[in-house]
Amino acid sequence: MAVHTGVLSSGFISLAPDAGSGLAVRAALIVVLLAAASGAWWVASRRAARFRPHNDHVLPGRAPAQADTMTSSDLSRELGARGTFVQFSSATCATCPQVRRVLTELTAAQPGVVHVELQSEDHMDLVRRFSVFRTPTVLLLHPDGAIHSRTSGPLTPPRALAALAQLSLATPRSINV
Amino acid sequence: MSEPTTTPHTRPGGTPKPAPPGIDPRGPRFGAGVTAALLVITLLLGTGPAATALLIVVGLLFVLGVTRGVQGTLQGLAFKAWIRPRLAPPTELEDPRPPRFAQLVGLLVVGAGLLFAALGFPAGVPIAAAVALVAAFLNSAFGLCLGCELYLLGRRLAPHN
Repeated sequence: MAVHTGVLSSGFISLAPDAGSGLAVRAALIVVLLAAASGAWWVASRRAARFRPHNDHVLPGRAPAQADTMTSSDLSRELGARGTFVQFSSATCATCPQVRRVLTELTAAQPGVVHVELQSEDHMDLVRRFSVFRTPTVLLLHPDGAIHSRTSGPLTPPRALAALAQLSLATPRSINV
Repeated sequence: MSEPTTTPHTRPGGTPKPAPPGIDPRGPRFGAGVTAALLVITLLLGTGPAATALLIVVGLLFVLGVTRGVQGTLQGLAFKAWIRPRLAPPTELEDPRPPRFAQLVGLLVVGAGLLFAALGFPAGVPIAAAVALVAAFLNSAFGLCLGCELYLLGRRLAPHN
């Protein structure tokens, strides 16, 4: 088989002109590629699995009041007295139904906690304002609409409950109101 | 700017169109495994007619996935005929639209590689195969649909709305 030695291909395939060792090099490159992909997936999924405090995500140059608070008029419904989970979904989102199920069951069992699911395609203004880059992304709001924390990707009930407990600790005033 | 509306979380989907019937999520993962295997062979072949031909085959499989959905690809039919009968029923079904969108992303990647090859850059074939392999491998091994993740990024880059 002819091995091309173009500039573009030189780094990728034609490290060795000999066909046998060329095959070994390619096989090694494939293994490295798949190992790197696995590592990146592992790091990304660990990072995405927990709720992160909101302030990490405010982009510079953005009006803080706008990007930090979601109002009931943004959502067209009342916020929860204890907290509100706002879930950004989309038509091509494979994980969204699982997250919806977790949050629906959680809000059914927790009075004062509201779950709102938004179709991102219909709310691109909110998607941009709150720096949503993938679905599902879940924002957890204080009773006054200030964003407490956020997460994206698959969600487990314990993670959601832990975030809710953190929120309650952060807003003791909401218990007495 | 359209007035924001919320979807009641008691109703699944929430999209204007009713959701199509769900599919076994293990089907697309099996299909991605077959695609990944074909792409590994493509990469092992390096550049040349054989590698290009195999990448064209992968591209045609993606065309089937885009036009008929993942359950209509050859891998999907093979899964239905030979593999699913041997498995326990799925615990939950999956919306077929996300994996179908991902097939379109795969087709664009492979198509770009073939285009570069046709324009005289043979490295386009292995580079496209490597990109597609990463996506297919992550889908098959971990259930991560990389193409689906790109959907919202694409929408954000769109100038209006």
